[in-house]
Amino acid sequence: MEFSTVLQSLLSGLTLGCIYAALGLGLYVVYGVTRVLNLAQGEFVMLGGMITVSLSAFGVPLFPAILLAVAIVSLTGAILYRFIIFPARHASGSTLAFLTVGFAFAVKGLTLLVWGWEYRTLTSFLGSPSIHLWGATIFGQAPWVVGMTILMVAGLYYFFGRTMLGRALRACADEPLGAKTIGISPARMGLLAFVIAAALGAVAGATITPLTMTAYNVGIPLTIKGLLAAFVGGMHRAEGVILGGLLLGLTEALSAGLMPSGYHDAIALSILLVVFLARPRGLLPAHANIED
Amino acid sequence: MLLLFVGEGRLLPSGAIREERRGMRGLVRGIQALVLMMVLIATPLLGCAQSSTPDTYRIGVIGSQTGPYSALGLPAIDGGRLVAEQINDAGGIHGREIELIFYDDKGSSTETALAAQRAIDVDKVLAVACVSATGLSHSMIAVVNDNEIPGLIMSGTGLVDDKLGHWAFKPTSSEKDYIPLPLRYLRDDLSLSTCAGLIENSGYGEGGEYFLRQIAGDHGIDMVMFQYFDPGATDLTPQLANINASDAESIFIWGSGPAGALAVKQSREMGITLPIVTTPAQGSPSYVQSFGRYYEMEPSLVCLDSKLTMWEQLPSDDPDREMCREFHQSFKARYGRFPDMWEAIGAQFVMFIADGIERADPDLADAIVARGQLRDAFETTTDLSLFMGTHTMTPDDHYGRVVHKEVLVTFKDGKKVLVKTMED
Amino acid sequence: MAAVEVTDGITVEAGRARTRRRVLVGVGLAVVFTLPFWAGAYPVSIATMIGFHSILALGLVLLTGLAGQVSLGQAMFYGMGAYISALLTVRVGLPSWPSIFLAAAATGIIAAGVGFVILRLRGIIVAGVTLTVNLIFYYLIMSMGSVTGGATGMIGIPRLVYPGNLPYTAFIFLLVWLVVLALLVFSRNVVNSRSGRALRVLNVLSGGSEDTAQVLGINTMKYKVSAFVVAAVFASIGGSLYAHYTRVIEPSTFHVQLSVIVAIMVIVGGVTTPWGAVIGATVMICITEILRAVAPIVLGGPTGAYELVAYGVVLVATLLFLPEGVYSLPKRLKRRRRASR
Repeated sequence: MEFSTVLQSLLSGLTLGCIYAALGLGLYVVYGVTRVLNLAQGEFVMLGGMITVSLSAFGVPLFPAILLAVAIVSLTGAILYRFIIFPARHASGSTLAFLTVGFAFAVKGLTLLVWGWEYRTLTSFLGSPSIHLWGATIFGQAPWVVGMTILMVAGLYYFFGRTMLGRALRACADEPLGAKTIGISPARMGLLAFVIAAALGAVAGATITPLTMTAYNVGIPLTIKGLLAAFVGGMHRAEGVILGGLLLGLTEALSAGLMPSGYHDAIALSILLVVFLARPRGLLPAHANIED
Repeated sequence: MLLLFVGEGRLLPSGAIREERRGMRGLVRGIQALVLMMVLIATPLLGCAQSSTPDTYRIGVIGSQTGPYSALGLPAIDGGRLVAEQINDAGGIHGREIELIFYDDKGSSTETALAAQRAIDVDKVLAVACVSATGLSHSMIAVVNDNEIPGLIMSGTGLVDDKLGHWAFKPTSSEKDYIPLPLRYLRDDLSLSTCAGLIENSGYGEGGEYFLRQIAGDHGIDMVMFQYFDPGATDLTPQLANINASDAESIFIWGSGPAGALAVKQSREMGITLPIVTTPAQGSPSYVQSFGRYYEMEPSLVCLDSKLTMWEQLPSDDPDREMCREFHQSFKARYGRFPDMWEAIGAQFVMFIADGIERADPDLADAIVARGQLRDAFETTTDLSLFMGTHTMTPDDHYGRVVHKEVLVTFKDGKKVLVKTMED
Repeated sequence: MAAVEVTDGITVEAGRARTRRRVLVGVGLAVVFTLPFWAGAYPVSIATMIGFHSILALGLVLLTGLAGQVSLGQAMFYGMGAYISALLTVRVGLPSWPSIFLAAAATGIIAAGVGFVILRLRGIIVAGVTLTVNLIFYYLIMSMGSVTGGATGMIGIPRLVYPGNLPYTAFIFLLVWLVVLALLVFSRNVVNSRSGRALRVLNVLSGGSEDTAQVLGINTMKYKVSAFVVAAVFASIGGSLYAHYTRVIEPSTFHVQLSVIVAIMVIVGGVTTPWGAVIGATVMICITEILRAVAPIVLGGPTGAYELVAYGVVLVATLLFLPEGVYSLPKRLKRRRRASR
């Protein structure tokens, strides 16, 4: 086995892992606050990418385009919560999950109507060039993807740990009843969680598009990857979700590189499954204050 | 439908219910759920009320309008629709118009079979055409043979050519017949002798791998390695690193989805300078627009393509030049974009059917007779020149003898440039 | 079915309800089982598909409704039935009937193994794991090209052999609905049996708890695994019949997508009763077919994108207005009347 192949697989796995972790974080925020498994998270990512690409095509500079995309997608997230999740908030978990599936179908259909079926892409941000390192390559966009995920994590830590609003959200997640008695509205917090998840999704979508391309139908595969990352890592801790994403990305890339056969997808998932069965409560122990 | 029904229960003023006679209430209550079910079941059946003798030649066109293969189904539908419109504008066939009815297979073989059954039974079509992914189109074979209706399938693999039965036809290319073109290019034009296959995990990719393994050696190319990728893969660098580390002198990318195009981009970004040849999908306009810069990097990508997209560069005495020019320009006028491979395949399905109808002059008063007449006409298709090949079929061979028209192109200065044709 | 609420004149009311129910079920059975003799080939093919999906959904109700386990792996067991049966007939040359039973037995054994490993887990996690196992199964049959035909699939699976001169589609239709009926009866018996009561105690979804069940001395693993195996075996029989019906199978049919659709059917129909499965399968497939019939008339040309939007809207509307499923519709209307009386 060539060293360059191993290194390339590791780099590829790291980038993929960051993408999956970003997806998983969106799921984590919503699940943590509202206990809803949001299966439309991939659609937020897809929308973020599509809108950014279109705005860029109209000549809007990249970063304003991303901001505008984030605003539009956040609004979509708010609509999902206010008109679909909120009215059914007392229904069972699976009903709520499948409500988001229905929303995902509708978004996917509308995207197909508006944008057509073509795959689209962006050039790497600020034209950053590829870096060659000991026979392996880091794509120009890859550092942006890794940076985005790190920023997301840092932002969420700051928000949940240091701001009033973030603490209120966490209170709502940990002790819904107690939060209510001290005047925190679970409905408003739920709305906020969906908006944050949608915004995270939109940023992720814009950032990964130069690497992966985007089209109306990339949402559901992304959701599945995010789900796997969140399940393996454990839904109850952000660090777990990130570890899960990295594990998924690395197993995928390493099995594709080191076991060159059609079986690599099956092998990657099997490894993931074994890890999961060994640690069914997630890779990290739960915080003491979070009920499982 | 459901919404209306649910809404009804809410909107009824309570007074109205109070006035209801007591005995009625039980009955009404019991029937509620049944009514809902009945309405749901009855509505699809309403479609059955079609006139018995249609005044058009109805053709069912099943393709992926949504789902993973819509990038191939939707363009094919556009191509087919244009040909039908052209025929109808010119007065139709035997004084009748061709009417295409479109169905979405949603990327599922169960839906494909259901759509075919609906076309046959409810819309009473004369023939069905499946412009869908290889694996999906196979699920039509049993349906058309059971229902005894001529059916066209768009399978891209030669693995089914002997399993079509009495009613399925395949007026399209099998990879075994056009693989020699890129192989000859590698051997003769580039003087290479080894190649690595980068294969999509799909029915299309499997056929490609099977025949590459079988016949590459006959054309002087040694396939030293095969790597595989998922159609939805977004990072193919591990596979490309393996190929780069092997002693392959060239890469053959085989796939119908976006991952194949990404592979070209990523290999050039990795600084891999091996010549790359690919299947046609990678040359689709949207990928060329996105990745043209990488396609043009030396050695520039070489891609299988059709005469249709390259008509301008064909020699002026090429027999297909005029047909391709005409379609290319009318397509641009109708849809505002240029046609490509899948459009050409959709178009040639309708042309194949039109040719059959022309010769059969089917008697629409009796659907069973008409379908039989059309099938017999398909079986005697002789030297029919279409965009991807010239087809001749026999009762024993529903793929038949095909004179292929594939070409090889490369990319220079934002344009496709003709490299090699089957005749070269 | 629905217990009659306690009111004055309970016995009369209950008696009437029972008679009405029997008449309805009788009429329903008669309509369903004579369908191939008066309806066209297309309605029969839709009804056959409803039957296949009902089988899968019934298995899921057994698991979800009784044992409180949400599985997203029904498509895998369906696929196992289809592929094992196809392999035995096409590659080994066995007759088709025994191969269906061999496939069911093999699937049952595999399901028991899988069940023992994953049913130790609880809650939504089980859905995640079954989804992963289903994905692995999908990738395996894609990759094992030399055995399973890979993505191209298997072509030329023989028909089932049967006496008489019934059309094949009618025969398959009757067979599929007989399996549905058998599953319905089986499910009802389980609900009313000792194991049914045990299963309900440990059903987390309807307020039971595994811990309570264990305290009561119920071997929870035994019941959960049994429910899992039964669901898998029925899915396998359905899959074998599907393979011999279409005679072409390819992996994408057995992707996670189908497992999710089956779960949607169960949620839409109603989790708490076997009837919910059949109702859910009927409603969801008919919605697709209605859209397929109506959309081209309204819009013309390719309409797939509109169908996608409409499907999403209908799904959301159903779940919003009937969170307990379409099955609860008559009861809800009844309650509303009572309230307004």
